[in-house]
Amino acid sequence: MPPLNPLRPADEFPAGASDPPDAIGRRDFLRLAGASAALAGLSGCGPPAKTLAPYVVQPESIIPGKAAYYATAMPWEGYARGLVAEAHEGRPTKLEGNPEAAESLGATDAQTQASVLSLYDPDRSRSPRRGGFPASWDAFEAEWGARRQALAAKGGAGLALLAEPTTSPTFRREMRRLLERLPRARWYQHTALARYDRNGRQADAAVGEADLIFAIGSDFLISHPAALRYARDFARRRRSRGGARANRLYVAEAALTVTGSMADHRLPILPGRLAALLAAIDGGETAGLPAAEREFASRLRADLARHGGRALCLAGPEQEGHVQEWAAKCNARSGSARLAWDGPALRSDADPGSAGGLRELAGALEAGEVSDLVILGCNPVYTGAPGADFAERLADAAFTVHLGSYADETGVLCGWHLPESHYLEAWGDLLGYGGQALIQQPLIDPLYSSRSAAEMVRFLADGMAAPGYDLVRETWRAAAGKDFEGRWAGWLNRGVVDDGTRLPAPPVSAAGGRPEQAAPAGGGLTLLFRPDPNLGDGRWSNNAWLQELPRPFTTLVWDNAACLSPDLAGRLGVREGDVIELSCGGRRISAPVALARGQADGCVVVHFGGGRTAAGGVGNGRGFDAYRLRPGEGVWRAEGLEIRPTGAWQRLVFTQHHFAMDGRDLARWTEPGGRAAPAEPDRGSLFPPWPRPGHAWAMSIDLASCIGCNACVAACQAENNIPVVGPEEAFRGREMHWIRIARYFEGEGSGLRVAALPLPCMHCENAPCELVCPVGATVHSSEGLNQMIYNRCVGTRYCSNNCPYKVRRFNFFDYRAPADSPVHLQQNPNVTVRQRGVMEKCTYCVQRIDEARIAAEVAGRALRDGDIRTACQQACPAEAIVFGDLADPQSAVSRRKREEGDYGLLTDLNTRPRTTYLPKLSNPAPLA
Amino acid sequence: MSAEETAALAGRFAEAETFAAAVKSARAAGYTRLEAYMPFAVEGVADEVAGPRRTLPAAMLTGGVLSAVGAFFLQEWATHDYPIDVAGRPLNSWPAFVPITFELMVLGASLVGIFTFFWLAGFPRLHHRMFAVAGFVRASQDRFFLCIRADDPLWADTDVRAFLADAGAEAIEEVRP
Amino acid sequence: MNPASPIDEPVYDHALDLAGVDEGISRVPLQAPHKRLWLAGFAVAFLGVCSLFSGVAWLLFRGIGTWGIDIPVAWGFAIVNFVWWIGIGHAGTFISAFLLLLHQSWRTSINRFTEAMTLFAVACAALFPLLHLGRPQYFYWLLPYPDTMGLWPQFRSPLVWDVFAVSTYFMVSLVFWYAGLLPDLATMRDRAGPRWKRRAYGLLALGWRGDARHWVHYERMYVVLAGLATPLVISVHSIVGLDFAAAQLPGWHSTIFPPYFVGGAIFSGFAMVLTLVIPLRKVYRLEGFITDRHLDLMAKVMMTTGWVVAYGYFAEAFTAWWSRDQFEMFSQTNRLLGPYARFFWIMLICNVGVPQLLWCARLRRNVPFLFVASLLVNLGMWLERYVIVVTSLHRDFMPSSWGWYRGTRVDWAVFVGTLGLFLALLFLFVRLLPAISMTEMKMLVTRKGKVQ
Repeated sequence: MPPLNPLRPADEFPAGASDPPDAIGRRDFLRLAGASAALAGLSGCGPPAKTLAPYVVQPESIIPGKAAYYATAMPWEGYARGLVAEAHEGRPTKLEGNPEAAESLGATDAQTQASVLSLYDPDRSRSPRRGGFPASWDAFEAEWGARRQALAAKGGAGLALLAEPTTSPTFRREMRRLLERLPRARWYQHTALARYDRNGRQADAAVGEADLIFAIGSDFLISHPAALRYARDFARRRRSRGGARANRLYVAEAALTVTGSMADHRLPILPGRLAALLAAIDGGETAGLPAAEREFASRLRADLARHGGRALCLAGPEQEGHVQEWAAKCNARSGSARLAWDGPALRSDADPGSAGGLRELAGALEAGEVSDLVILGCNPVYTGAPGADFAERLADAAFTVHLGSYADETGVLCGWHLPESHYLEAWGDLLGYGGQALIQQPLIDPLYSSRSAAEMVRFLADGMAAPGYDLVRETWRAAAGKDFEGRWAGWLNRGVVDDGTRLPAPPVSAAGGRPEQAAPAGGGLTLLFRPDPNLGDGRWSNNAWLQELPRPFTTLVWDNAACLSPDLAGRLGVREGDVIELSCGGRRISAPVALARGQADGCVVVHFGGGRTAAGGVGNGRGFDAYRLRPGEGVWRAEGLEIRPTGAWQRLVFTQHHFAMDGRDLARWTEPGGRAAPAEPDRGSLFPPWPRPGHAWAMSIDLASCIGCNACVAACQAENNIPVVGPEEAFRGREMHWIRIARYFEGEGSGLRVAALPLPCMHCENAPCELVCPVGATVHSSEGLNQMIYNRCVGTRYCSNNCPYKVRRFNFFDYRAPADSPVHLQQNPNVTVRQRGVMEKCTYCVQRIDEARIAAEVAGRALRDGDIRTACQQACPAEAIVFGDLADPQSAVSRRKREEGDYGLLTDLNTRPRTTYLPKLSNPAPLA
Repeated sequence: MSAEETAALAGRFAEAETFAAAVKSARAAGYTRLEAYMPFAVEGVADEVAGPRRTLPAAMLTGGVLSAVGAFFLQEWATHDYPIDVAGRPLNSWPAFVPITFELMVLGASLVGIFTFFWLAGFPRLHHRMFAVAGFVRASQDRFFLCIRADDPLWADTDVRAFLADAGAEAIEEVRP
Repeated sequence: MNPASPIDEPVYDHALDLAGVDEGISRVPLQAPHKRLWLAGFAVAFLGVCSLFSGVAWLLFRGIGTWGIDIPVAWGFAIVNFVWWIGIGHAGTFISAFLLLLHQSWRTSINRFTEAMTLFAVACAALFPLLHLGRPQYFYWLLPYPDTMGLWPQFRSPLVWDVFAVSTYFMVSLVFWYAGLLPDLATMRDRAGPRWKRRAYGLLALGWRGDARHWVHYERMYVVLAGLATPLVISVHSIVGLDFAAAQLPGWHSTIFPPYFVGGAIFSGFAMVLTLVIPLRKVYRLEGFITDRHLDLMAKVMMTTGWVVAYGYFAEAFTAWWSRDQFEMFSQTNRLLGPYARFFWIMLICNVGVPQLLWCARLRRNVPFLFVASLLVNLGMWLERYVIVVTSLHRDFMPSSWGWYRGTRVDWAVFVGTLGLFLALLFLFVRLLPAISMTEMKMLVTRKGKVQ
């Protein structure tokens, strides 16, 4: 199919797009949609070279100005995140969770929200390259045709494929098919991230059922294929102060995680000490443990006994084998089979047909067994541990091909680089962590001439391309049996395969699984490797939204750093930003220091995703490359770390500088059944109340359930066309997020308390900002919205000075992307793009309010509670944010605000905020 | 006879005191059509000659009051003309309107003042018969001129010359029409 | 009372007569002594003007982001400079109007010059509210005009009050100054040599003849104008004070601001007058008109208003402490001990410490010392505004939003630029117009002995 390039109008229409076929199938529709998408991006690029033809026949269900929604799925570490994508005139602009999908339940996380930006990333690879020079698919197909003949002759000997582990049935079917045709070809798999299977089984849990949860280095609330479900279940047990009893969370971890910040009892502990701690919890032999550990162990031991059968133990996938086993044993012992169970491993890295990981591939290359190497969608040159020194090994293969969205570190080293389709451009299917199958249907034709991994495998096997659409349907036709078309339509409609259709269970090898980590040498400090909270293993490094999204607890942006506990930093005599040299196992790198509160002394945490050299304009040269220190794939911890201050200093950019509340009444805590602070008396007002008939929009944020995962921040950015400002501007304190999450710390060590306080606009009824605006550019709506009228704003910034919550953001420069950048295609047409010199801020997603209002009027009914959901509310996996009509006493928000302990920020100023909070819950164990 | 050519006779004085005295005695002598020119306002002389005037302060007062009232009602009207809910404040936030009311009062009064003054003084007027009088350039520096106009009922060329000389004029100039 | 006491001391050289006055004052513009010195000075000032233009050009081209402002410190140099310049302007009106009503004959020698200073200072000040807008092209939206959308300014905002206050202040000062100039322009017309000069001054003099009928209205108008300008000068800086007091930011939200700002304005204004008058009278040998007694009296006013300012500082801190409001108390401690504390302490030394030295009569007569002291007070008053604007904003209610501020090169270019503009205008004024009111001086000379 011809490429769609929004930058070059000349080749913008697929042939025949302007004369629609008589019967419009989805693909035809998508082609048109793609064309109009590209077209929409053209505003301001001058008239195209070709004449534009309007729709002669309006394609079904595409109404200009009206959003269309399609169910699809996003691969998250190979597992499915079920989504509903919003498309305007055929271009996907916003992603929401698919309520039908068991692993997203309508929620999303920050990376999912930001993934739509990557679709329009101008740095994406746009055409095949041969030896770094632009080439064509035809050229590649010709060349591969020849090589394939040769390979086929030897039954595929010498052909090696390297792919990321995935749950996609179609991909695995295609791969098996290829291995059948070329039996001596080898399929290797590589991921720098965690493996969730162990001996062919993967553990799952019913977090919502547990009264007591003990998380051992497990960040199950945010970084897990089932994190959204876990977070939802967990939060539901936290919120209900009156009804079901609140659960209790124990966390023993080395570095503060989102999960750890929710703990009722948290123990910062080095991985090396875990064994002793766990033994103590088992045997009660706490002698010889430090005070904090002893107290934690005995308290937990008693509590576990109390909660037999309702206690759940979760070990993080990065934990070593003995911890995993202990967790399994603990669950078994406390008879929690109902809460924690094993299922067959769903991801392909447990597939017996797989020839191993990167180390094995490197070995084969070195042995000269590989003549043709095809790398599908991963970037081993960057993510591979230097132990395998994969960059050099590549040269051992005569013919190397890389399929990827970017001509990344691997792509530039391979003979051929081929563009891979974004998941919103390609047909596919995925399994959720719980086993639910989802159909990944594209929202748009590929913007550039790209193919999906499955399409690629099929082509490699047959030497002729087949559209992904057909491949996926092949997979499922077999399973569906009769009435396939009918079922297929239903699956696409709901996005999930929910009618009992089952695929044959994929083969699983009982061996393998998480590589056991060699007992590390003692001495020196402990070095811990973690995926970056935003950038993962580096795949999101070129995503500006995620680069500028504050890391949960350091609020670091645009960089990664070596995280030290303040005490350790003090002992080493280094301050934030000082560059230190980390040397471990003969490898050394330099990295700036960031102070991480709540981290165990004696360990340093480094995050992947930095130090990219071929990520693209955004990601290149940001931070340092932590992989350079990693001993090998799947190794998360190294001992014997030496630190040497270099004397150099590097500017790190943080969005928050002060983390103590200094006795100010901002984030509140409460205990189950504990007396909440009495609600403030209404101080009344000197002014006659303004008549505000009709709706009264308001928001309630429940700190008890808010896990502080940043999903709301990213969702707001995607919904409201919020620009990124870059490191320089962020350093000046000019970041634009309409909702930010303030982080406050109290106490330290095992007594550390962390509060995440999401701060959108408070929409004060007596808004201080309005009073001081000289031109009336920010005024009140009759429904209580504090509105910002951009085109009236002259930019005195007085409103920001007078806003006690400092939620207003100012366009100090023109932060808009260049006029010809494809990222404009992502923007929400219902939200004004702000120009230089105007103030902006949270609007309570007024565009969504109006959309719902119009829909209700069209349907001739009144607005119902729940018709309107703000972007932050919809994204929130913990249901911490509720928005609605205060005038309706039965609305969810009214009920929330009637709950005991509901409070507003800085109400002494009589600002009368419409956004109020419920206190954070801490549920400590009674002292036995 | 020469009354046709002579519009007035101007006596030039060197000292402010003698000049002031001369003006007084001229009034005493019954001369009514007097003109006095001086580099600065010698006490009493101005009122003596031109008579006390209240026009200007009155004008400034009216100007001030009118613009104050105008300013206040402009603000009141503007806020009601396009009623917007601003920070929940009532439309009639009169205390907030006071500053501008005051400022505009001052502005109105001052502008009315200066322009009324120009009007009363007949400014701008770049040509005047006095400019033709010999030595009148000193009138803005260190000399004082007292003119008795020819249309004065008591006008008699010789008497006037005599009077001015007695009054201590250091010179007497003819003012041509 | 001892005869040597300054009260009996004349406010001008009694050897002067009418001609002497005219000669002494008008020779400066007419014969232009010290051409080289003047040119050199003007050249320096002009460099400043260039820096202003380059700074403003860059600002308008790249946007307000070229300044150091951010969130939370959304106001910076622009507002600091605005308040500082307006304050300086106030001394002029205070001297010419206030002291006139109080029959302080010593004002005569300096009022013309200080009125000019007022005009130029206000001109510099007025630049900033325009430049500090995010979209300066729409500044006129702050004016009430029949807008096609039927919109009006939001009259509850102190910024709108500012617009009216500053523009009124500028126009009234202009009227007052020009009215005062009229008789002198006539004198210049009559003294000027070349025909074109006579014409130029003549045109400006509008045909002033010193007619009794001019004087009778003129004097009334002048007194009433003075009567209007006096409350005006107080209202203007009160309104500037309200820009801050009307906000509820700790460190701004304080009822003491209006009077304390007015005091500070006159304080800094007199300092600036001294800074300018001391070299002026030296270079153009005007000691006969601007005597040591003037310097002495101005020093006294400076000392007094210095105390008003000191009280302002105290009252702020006290009310904060008295309120027991944790935010107010914090913003005060943050001023004393926070990251910007050094500015606060330097300010305290300049504005409260230095003026105390003026208790000593000998120092009040020590011209070099007065010059340095006046410079220090100018610095101190600039820092005062910096402390008020920046330290209050950078740490307010929400610790999570605390930030920092530092002026950029563009900030400095514009500030230095306005200094240059101010000086350049003053140089032109001295060169073209009588810097001292000849008419009033002559009135004084003829009232010889009747003084006081």
